[in-house]
Amino acid sequence: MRLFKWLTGTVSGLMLVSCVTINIYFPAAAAEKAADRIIEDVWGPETQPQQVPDEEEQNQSFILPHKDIAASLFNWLIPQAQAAQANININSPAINALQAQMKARHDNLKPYYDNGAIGLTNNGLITIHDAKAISLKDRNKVNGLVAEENKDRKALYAEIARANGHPEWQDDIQDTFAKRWISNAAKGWWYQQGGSWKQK
Amino acid sequence: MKRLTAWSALLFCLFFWQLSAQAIEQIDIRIDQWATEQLAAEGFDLALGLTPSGIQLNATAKTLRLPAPINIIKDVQLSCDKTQWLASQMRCESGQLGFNHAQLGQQTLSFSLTALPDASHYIFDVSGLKLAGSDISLAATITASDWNVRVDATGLHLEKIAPWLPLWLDETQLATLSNWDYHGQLDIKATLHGMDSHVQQLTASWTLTELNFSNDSGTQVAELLTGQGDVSGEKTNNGWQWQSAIHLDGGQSYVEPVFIDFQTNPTKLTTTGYISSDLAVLDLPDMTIEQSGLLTADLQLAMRNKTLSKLNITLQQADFESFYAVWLQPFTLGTAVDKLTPSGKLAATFELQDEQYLFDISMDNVSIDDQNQRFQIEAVNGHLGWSSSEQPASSDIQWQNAQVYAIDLGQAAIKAQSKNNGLKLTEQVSLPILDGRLLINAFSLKQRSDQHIDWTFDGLLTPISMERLSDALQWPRLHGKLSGVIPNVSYKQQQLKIDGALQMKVFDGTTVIRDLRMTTPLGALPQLYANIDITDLDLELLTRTFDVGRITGKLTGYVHELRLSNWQPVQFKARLATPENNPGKRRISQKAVDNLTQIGGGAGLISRSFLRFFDDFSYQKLGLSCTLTNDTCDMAGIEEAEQGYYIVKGGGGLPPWINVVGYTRRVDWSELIERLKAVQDSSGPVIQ
Repeated sequence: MRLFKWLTGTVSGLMLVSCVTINIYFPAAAAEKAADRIIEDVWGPETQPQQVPDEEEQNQSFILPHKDIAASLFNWLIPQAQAAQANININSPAINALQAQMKARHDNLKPYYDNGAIGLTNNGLITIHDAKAISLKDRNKVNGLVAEENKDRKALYAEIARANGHPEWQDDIQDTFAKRWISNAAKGWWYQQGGSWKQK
Repeated sequence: MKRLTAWSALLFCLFFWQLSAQAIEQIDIRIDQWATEQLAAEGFDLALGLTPSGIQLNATAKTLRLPAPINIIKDVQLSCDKTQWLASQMRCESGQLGFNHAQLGQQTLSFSLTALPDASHYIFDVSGLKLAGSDISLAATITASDWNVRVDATGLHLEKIAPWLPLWLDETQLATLSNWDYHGQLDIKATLHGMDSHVQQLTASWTLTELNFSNDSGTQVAELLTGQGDVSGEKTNNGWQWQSAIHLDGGQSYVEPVFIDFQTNPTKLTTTGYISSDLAVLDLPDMTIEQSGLLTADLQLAMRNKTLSKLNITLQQADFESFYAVWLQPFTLGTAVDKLTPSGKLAATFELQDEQYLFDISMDNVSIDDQNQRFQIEAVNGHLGWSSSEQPASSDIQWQNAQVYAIDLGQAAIKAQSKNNGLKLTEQVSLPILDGRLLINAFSLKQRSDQHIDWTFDGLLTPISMERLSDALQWPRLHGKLSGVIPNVSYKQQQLKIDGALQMKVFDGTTVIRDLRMTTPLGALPQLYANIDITDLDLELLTRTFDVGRITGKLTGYVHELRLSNWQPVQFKARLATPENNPGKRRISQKAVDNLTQIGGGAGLISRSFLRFFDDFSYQKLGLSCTLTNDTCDMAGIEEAEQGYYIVKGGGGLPPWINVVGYTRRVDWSELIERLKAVQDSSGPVIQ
């Protein structure tokens, strides 16, 4: 019986260690939720945030790019509370400042999303989709807005990664945002998918 | 020209028929099919009648095949009421020609003709030709040695010319043109002089009305463009020499990324040029662009085998503000200089020869204000030279005032030399920073192959008073000096790195800032990293400055792995405590105790009812540490206490002693800042 206790104790200990290891991997589901919160704030209530289904959360964790086999083996052992702690914090003065800036800019960008002049790229940025939808005199104003928005978006992805103590997550954050911007986009907006443009 | 020859052949035929019909009043001839080398007719009817004023000629043909580009015309009707044949001259003063053509449609032309076939001399006028919505008239004189043609077209609809373009353009050109959408009206008057089938001289003047064009992607667009122009050219031995002038005074254009409103900035372009017949040589030795209110520039350009071999541009003095808005800002979008408010005057020269270039920008009382308020510079005078080759270009620039963020930089002058896409200072620069100076030695700047710019210098910072610095940064006023020996400052790949150390003498102690680096200092979210070590700050001076209640003693510690994002601290490991080895006199006031308990988030283990009679207390040690990550501060004190940690541990001198114990281990950083502000703003504790 003692041996059994010792064994279960040791195995539990190993599991615990493994759980700690898993926590350093990119928390995709939490990142998606964080992205949705920012997107909803920046774009306002008009766009319809689409809830990430729970199944997707689970599946996401298996296809994470950084996950190694050892981590995957122990993945099922993560207690719910432990997984919930893998959070993405998006509340820092720098992130708030960027978010506020993007929100203010959105009023200027929105007409151009609506008329198809601007579209969402598949890497979490925006670009000119239909230049002809912009009057000549406004072309550079819009180009400027796009450049500023992209500068802020890149800074935002980098800052979220840094603020969460993992600068190396920047690409994962950007990928997550890329998907969520598109999912949350309003009807009629254009986005890139698989190298071509599509309309919501 | 082939067309002319064909027509003359037809007239010869008519002449021949006339000879054989002299003695009668009316001759009708019908020929079912008739063909010469250049001409073929089907269902040809000819009627000749004698009238008092000459011969009346009427000819019809069902189809008539003429040389290209006309090819087949149908339902041809030719009439001339007054045809005259003299010894060697045939004349038709007023004739009509009607026909139907696949592209030209139904045409009814008026013409007059004088032909001297023996001398191969023909003169004719044609009017009423309808082409692309336009009324075209032609006048031609053809002799055995040369010819002259005058063309006058009014209201030519450019979009309707498309069916005719295959006659003049090859397939590649047509494919390129098919990516363009264009419409507009053109009036043109042209005179051509030629020999055989070659044009030798050309003069033309044109007026463009409401020209709109756009490529598929909408990157090169014009809307409602109006303008006039003229061109005159002459064929030389192996090419063409020409002069042209274009004046655009209405409409707008956008040629990515430059937008021009021609109504606001009418533009005139005059060119003298030469192009060889094989297109291998293009010389534009004299070209001038005048954009009213914007710029005047002279250009010389040479291309060899479709490659630019020489380009000289002289931009005459221009108003920086309007020049920046139209010609510079569009190219800077997304960089740190895309939102400037410039003023002053600017002139420039640019020379490119065999892929090496040299430019020089001279500035006259130029000021630049960043609209994001990150930097500004005032009253810049002098010139900046840049060279991509061994040939040096000098720079000599002075300014009156500058500012980077909140830091004032005073008047300074730089002398530099540029070559091989780099620039080096030729003299030490002394840059005033507040009341101190940054001495800049061995500054060198290099443009990398990916166009990014790296720079580096060695520096020495002479003392800056902390009063000035803290005022500028809107900190509470600090006393002391900031100075530093900086072995090297470098900027590479958007990262500014400062080797060496900056030393702050504040509160009678020493604060040393090391490993200072910044990324994207002028970007969306500037990042600053540093390690700071603090030694023996006088707590009495410090607490007095921040008005948090008097504490005496010393304070030593560090702020390591500090990161500021957008100038706000977001990450660090900090510990500040009284030093072990330098006890000094350690007393803490009632107010300070109260404030510290507030910061620690817990209540001090003191009995206020008893302690309120004491102004201050003796303490053994005090200190606080905070590790900031993720907007959360993990706090600790100088020693663990039961359920908490000591921020102040009483002891040392005479009792009463007090302990301040903190209980909250994790504090929301924003909340902590609020607490600190609250402490500073509070009027002091109320002790009952």
